[in-house]
Amino acid sequence: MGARGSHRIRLWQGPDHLLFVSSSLLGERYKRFYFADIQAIVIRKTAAWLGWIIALLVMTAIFGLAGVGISETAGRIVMFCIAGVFFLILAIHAALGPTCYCMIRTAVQTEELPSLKRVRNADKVVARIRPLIEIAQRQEIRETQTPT
Amino acid sequence: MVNEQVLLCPKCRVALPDALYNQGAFAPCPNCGSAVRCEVFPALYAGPRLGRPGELLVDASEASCFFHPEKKAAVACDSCGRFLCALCDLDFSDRHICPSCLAAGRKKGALGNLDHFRLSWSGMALLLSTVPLLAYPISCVTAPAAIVVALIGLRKPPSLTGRRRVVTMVLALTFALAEIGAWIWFGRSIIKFYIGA
Repeated sequence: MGARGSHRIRLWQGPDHLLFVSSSLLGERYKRFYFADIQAIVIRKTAAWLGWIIALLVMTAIFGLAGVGISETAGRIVMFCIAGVFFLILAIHAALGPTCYCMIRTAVQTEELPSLKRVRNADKVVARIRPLIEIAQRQEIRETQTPT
Repeated sequence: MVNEQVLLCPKCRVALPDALYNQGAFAPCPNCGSAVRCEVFPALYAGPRLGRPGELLVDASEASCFFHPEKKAAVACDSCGRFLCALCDLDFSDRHICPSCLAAGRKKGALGNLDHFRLSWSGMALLLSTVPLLAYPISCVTAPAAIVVALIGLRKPPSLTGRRRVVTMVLALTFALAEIGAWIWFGRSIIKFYIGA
């Protein structure tokens, strides 16, 4: 799942296509990428993962140090709790793995896939649809070569 | 139409060399150095798909295409049964359909695979029941409208993914019923006030 503006983007697997669903409160817009038409999927690692790790580390450190510096027990607990929340977010973010930008290309369009923003997810999706794409395109080639 | 057989780096928009294709791992873009992975499929190298021309009718006893009487029929439409030549035969979701059935199906919304937008009736109902809270006098109209829209939505097909927005629907109905209740209470209070006076 990803987002583009106020729209939530999801990718669904159909029997012979990938369904790109962009949903808002008022409705859903669909784009279909047929396995037989997909030419390429390009994944680029982005620096957002590292950037967020650094930012969250800094926030954890700031609130942690503030907690150490405060002499009042209540204030110290509050600061450590805030530092703890940042650390938790940091741990989850780090565990989810590197971020990426993913795009899919067909003969008529190139579309960004915002729902695939983690390398791990993108790898999983590629591993899942690659055989389906290859089967569909092999069949397509066979059909075009068969004399009618 | 994208007909070049090269892929561009998503960051610097410079063509990526073939050596980076299907490596199964990330490799640096020669121009910007960002780590990219290219999964390339045979369709990249295949040319544009051309439609098959219909065969000319040579014998008068042969069946001819409904739309092109001079062409030999290759298949019957799975929807209306008309004979079609190879040109008119549209392969659609493993079915053979003629252009007029395809157009009619699209118009009626009968072909789910052609849908590119579906209205969220529950979302509309939620908007109708919540947005007027900012201008509450109009809620006497929009609250019943929200209930009507929500009820219409129950009869409409759900999202193509099969999901129905049940939570949104329940929220919309709750807000709308609460607003109607508030209006009833307000009306009764006014009547009581005047009768009491």
